[in-house]
Amino acid sequence: MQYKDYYKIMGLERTASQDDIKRAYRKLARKYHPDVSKEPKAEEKFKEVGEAYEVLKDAEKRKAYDELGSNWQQGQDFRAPPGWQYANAHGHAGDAGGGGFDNVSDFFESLFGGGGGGGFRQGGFQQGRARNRAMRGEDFHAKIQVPLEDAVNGAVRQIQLPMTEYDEQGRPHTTTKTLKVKIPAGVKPGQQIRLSGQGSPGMGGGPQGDLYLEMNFEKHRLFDLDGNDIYLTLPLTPWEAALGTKITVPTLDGKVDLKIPENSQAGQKMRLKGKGISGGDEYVILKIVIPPATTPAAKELYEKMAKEMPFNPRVNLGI
Amino acid sequence: MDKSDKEMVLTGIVLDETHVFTLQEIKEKFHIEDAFLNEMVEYGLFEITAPEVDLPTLRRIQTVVHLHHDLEVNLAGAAVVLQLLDELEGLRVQMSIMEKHFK
Repeated sequence: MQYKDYYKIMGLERTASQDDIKRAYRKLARKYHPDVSKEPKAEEKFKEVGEAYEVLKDAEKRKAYDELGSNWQQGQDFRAPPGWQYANAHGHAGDAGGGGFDNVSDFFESLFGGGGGGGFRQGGFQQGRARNRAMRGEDFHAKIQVPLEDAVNGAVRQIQLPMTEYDEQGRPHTTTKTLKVKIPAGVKPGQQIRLSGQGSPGMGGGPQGDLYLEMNFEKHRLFDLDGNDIYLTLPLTPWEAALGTKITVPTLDGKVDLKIPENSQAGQKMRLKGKGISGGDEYVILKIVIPPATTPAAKELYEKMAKEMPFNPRVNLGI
Repeated sequence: MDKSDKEMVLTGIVLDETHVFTLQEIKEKFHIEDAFLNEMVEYGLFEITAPEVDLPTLRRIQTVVHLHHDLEVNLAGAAVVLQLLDELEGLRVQMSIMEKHFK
């Protein structure tokens, strides 16, 4: 496993005060909170910051962590020192939180046992509850990114999900689960697929929890999605826009011919009914691209146009 | 994980906008009590017109609970955050369209 430099993760010196630690956590939690942040790997960073805060905010845990020494580097191969007693002396780190996907890293578990609290979500950590009672396992939640075409046409995707599993003593350990999941055709962003029985095992003979996969779409090279409608920018030459033409345009399920009326203007939107997702439309936004005047012949043509087609595009500006 | 599990294709149930959750399910899922739910309604975060809520409402409740628990945002603040998030999402889509258009 790898060493985690909690001070570096929080952007703090090792001499930081408790107030500094709290302030840093609040700032980073706001920055990376997965419900509001679009930062890359926000959820992963949020969990990392939460774990760092869980240790540094607690005087005993911080002291124990500091005793590992300051020579370790973030990411360095690590093993708990021989005779490390923190988990045995203090029990598992918390009964509130943990449960579900890797709320704590292997590094944290090796030093402090499993589970979390504080910055971690209340996931219903099962240790500490009556083991004799049958309890349903926790549900897992994960977000996956799928290409727009897979969402429209359906696909089978293999996904790997980190998760926390519990041994017979209720102690957690981190593992990775690989699943092949059918993405049904027509699924929309934000929708969830519930996979029964793919959550945490139940306790005391209780049923397994479920896995909820939230669908998100990968950014597409050509299309933008707004609700059920998709948008495509279509470049045209000036003569195509002025004289009108027929252009073959891409859609999610192949190409179609689109008639461009004469005297079309930049920014004009044309609708392809039913070519969006789930009954939505495709909107084609026209963009006029000016060919460069890089040859004498091209320059001559432009000069002729200027002479024979007097036209002021700035009339509305009064100039 | 054994090989047979890896090769099996799992088919789930799509929870779309017609899927509903009972208030009891909501309370269990997010570990909240009636008082907190009622307070969210008081602040206009969502409306309870039936014994169940739909998926978009569930997502709003989830965001509020997360903001409150993780970022210590009070419910008045959470209402503002939800509104801004909606506007932000709309602006992001528009910006993405513009970026492709003016590239």
